[in-house]
Amino acid sequence: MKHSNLVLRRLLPLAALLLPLAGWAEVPANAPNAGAAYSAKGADTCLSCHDEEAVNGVFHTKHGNPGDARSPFGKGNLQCEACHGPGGNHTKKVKKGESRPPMVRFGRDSETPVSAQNGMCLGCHEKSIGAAWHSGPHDTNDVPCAACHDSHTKKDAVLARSTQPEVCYTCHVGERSQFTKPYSHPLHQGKIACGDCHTPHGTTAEKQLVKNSVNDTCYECHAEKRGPFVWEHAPVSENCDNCHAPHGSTSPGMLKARGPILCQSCHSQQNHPSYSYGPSNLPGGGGPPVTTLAVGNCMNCHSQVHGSNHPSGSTLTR
Amino acid sequence: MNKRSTTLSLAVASVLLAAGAAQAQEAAAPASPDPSTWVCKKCPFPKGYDGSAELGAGYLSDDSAAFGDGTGLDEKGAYVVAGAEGKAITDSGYTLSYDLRNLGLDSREARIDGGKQGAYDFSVFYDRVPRRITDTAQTPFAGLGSSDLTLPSGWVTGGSTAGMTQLDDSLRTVDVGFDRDRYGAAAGFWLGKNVVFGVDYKHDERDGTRPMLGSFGSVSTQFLRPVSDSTDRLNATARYEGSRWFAQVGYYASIYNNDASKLRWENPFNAFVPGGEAGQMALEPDNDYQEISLSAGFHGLPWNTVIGFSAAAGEGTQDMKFLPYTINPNLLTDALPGSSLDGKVKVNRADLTVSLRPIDRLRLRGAVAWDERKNETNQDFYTSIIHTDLFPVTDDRLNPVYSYERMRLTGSADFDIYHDLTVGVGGEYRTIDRKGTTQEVKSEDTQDGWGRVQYRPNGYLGFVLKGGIEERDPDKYDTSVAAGLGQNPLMRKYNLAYRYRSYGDFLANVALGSLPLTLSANAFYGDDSYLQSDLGMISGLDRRYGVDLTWAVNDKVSAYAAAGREKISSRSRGSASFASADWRADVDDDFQTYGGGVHARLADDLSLNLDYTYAKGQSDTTITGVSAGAFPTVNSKLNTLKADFTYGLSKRTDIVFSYWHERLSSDDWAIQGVEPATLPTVLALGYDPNNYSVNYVTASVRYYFKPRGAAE
Repeated sequence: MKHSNLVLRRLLPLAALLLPLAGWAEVPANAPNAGAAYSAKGADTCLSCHDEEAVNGVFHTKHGNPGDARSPFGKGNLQCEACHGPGGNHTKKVKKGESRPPMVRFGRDSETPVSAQNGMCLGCHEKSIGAAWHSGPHDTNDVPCAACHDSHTKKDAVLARSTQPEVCYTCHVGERSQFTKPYSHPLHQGKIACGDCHTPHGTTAEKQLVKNSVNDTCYECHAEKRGPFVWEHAPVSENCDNCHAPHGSTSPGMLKARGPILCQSCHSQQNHPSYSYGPSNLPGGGGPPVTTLAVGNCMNCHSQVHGSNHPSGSTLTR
Repeated sequence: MNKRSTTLSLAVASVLLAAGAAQAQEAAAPASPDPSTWVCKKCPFPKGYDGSAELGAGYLSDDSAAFGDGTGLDEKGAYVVAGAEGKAITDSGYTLSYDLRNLGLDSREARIDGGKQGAYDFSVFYDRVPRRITDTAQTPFAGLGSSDLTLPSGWVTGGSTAGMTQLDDSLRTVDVGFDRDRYGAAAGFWLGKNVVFGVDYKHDERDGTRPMLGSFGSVSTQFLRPVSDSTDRLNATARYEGSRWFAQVGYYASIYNNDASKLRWENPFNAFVPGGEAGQMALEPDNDYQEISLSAGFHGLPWNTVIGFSAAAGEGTQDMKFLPYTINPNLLTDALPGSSLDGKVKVNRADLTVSLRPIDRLRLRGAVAWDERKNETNQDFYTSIIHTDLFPVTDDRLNPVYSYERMRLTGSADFDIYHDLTVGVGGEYRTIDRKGTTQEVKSEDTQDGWGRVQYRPNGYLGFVLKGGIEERDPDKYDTSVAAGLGQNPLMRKYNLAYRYRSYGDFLANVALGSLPLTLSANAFYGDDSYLQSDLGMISGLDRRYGVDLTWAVNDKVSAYAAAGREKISSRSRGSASFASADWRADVDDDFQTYGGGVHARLADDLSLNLDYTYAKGQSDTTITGVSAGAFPTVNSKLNTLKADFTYGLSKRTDIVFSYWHERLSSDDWAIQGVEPATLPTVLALGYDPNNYSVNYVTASVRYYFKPRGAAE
């Protein structure tokens, strides 16, 4: 009696702390198989029926790595049911005329609610994805993780630069068109991908950019524009988007509009900055050809438009 | 004492259990399995080495810099087709994989990944991005790629390009472009279950040339400037992951180095003043930026609350040695205010995000983000500015420094009226305070409010409709500042002006259940009105839609079709008389794309893929008022057809044929028909708008180190 009291005194506080935290992977309550029992043999049960190539691809991925204690197929883990939820009911004999009880199925066209699908993923990936997922537009728009990720294929298309854009274009249909414009980043050549500038898992930055601001994101590849310069051009240091359309443009340099009109949306000084230049000012246009229209337009002289580090560069000509 | 301890423990357990029960909507508790007995006998875990290598040849039918931009296929002739990929896995779980692509092209890439999952990983990569600008440029200059461009001996300067009598004999056609070589290495290391360290290093090098313009007074020359620089980036993080929280510290550094930080070129025109026979430009200066950051997150709090926080402090510097005011030996100048700018910019930011679900039907989100750019660069008077190495500027000028502080508050609420119908409202409030050198608008705030409806009756059907209004309101447009800059008092700069914006966005996803068809559609509408601007931008309208249809014909064949269109219209006004508006510019862009394809696995050893894209763009600029007229339409038309055919000769060998036809036709009034001497006051490179029609065919053999379909 005394001994058991001693055990109770020593262990109960510990047990009290552990008791509510014990338990297996959290299965969202709205999952189709919430509350069901797990299968008898795990993956060996599942693979009795589901042994096609589309399923077995998972073993070539991180999810199917038995050497990682965190992976669903790590020692002592729940294997297929770590993601798809308990399969006990699904694997039982089904009476004639009855449909087989479902498990969590992933994908945009799944009958499993998105919150249940994503709940399974976030059960393990919550910490690495970060808090910003929950306030980001993909979560707001109920995009399932499996709309972008394919966990059962050897190569998840969204993780490779050459195939990622096609995944994004599934919803971002307009962007496919934009990157076909004559002046755009080399996305279709496979040299840049959406994830080089955007963080699809969410971020507090505007437009889900990888860095805090548009400019910081651009400086990742275009650090030559960072300066600071002796003679700064104010809209440049504030936001590259003031002049550029990074998804593509019909104007050279991915500019939103051509000069001189783009420049004249801010510059109105007397004489050449405020003059109107029409087609007659082009070569062969009938009027006097001007320096401010053809070839580089305003940049024929003001070529240091991003800023100048020359002591005499106050007009961005040096 | 014992009773008290027991009671206390039970009380604690009860509270924790209650908290756990409060999250029961997220945590159902099935019967406990015993996975330690699950042996996974049927699991085909890969072991050993698997991979493939491909070798062959390709042929490009025609030269084209534009086709080679990004692809490396710019010159007519033969190319090597080579690539390989593979992965090795040991019994103890170590992996090593590699992916080598386009090894015979200037767009080659290589990547190696390895490690022991859950313990450590590493990767190294190399990627070359070929940037091919034009192959029809003509220039008389020597020293291309260097910082000193010289004219040939015997060169005759002219008052205009017509007077450059040696020009035609001196011109030679050159290729213009540069390569970006990107190297990188990354590693991650897990210390126990909770701590992970990461480091990511990238080194970019660029080498080549690109067009640039330099002027002397009112005449200008287009030449090729050198591109020879590098950027090093390092990102290091240390992260602790608790059961319901994480914290991370990070260090980021970016160092830019330019081997060609200046450019001298000889003046092909008559020098307006003695000594104006050559000029010197400052190219981008070396600079660096470093930042430390802290971030943390908590999840699993009551009401499914997730909180995220991050903050960072960074500093950028630039202290490149000054060039002289001028290289014109005939002009005397004062001493420079210093040996360098000693530029310094501090960047700080902090943000907090909260999302919660107090009841099952209601999701609330909020975020506050603050950042500032403090330009602490010295300001000095530059007292001997020489305009284009010719003309001393009479006034002393103070270099501007621009800083700002921004705040963004965002909030939204989404309520599930039914399980398939969600309505949401949200808003964003942004402020910016501009500091440093005074601009026309010191501070402005932008208010944005939106509503959205989402209807998703089942997994096969989903619609999202969102619409909103945004108003950017400057506190005051200071016309005295504008006047000081010589601006027309009626001008309102487009990035500072009052702007009223309405917008709408529609997204649909339809999977036609019984039919193996899925349709995605997206439409966007944005209408900007600059209602307080007499001069400058006055309106902008962006309409965009796209449709994507995928058809899984059967388990071996799929087809798709896609179409998209974007129309952007903008209007701006100006005053040639420096009074009220007397001209207007209307710019209308219309861009359309159509495409489709078939991907078929005709047999286990036979596959065929066909993809076609058509893209057509046109841009029209019309001036009304002074200098009225319509510019020639800027057209572009792209046709792309890709086909590849793979036949399995054996379980280890495929032969692969591919065919790529691409045709681009474009015109551009800015350079169309503009030869080097077409403009009297601009010596141009004279390159043409991009036009090409190419065919690229390849034949290769792909060898698999393990027979396809072999048991693992």
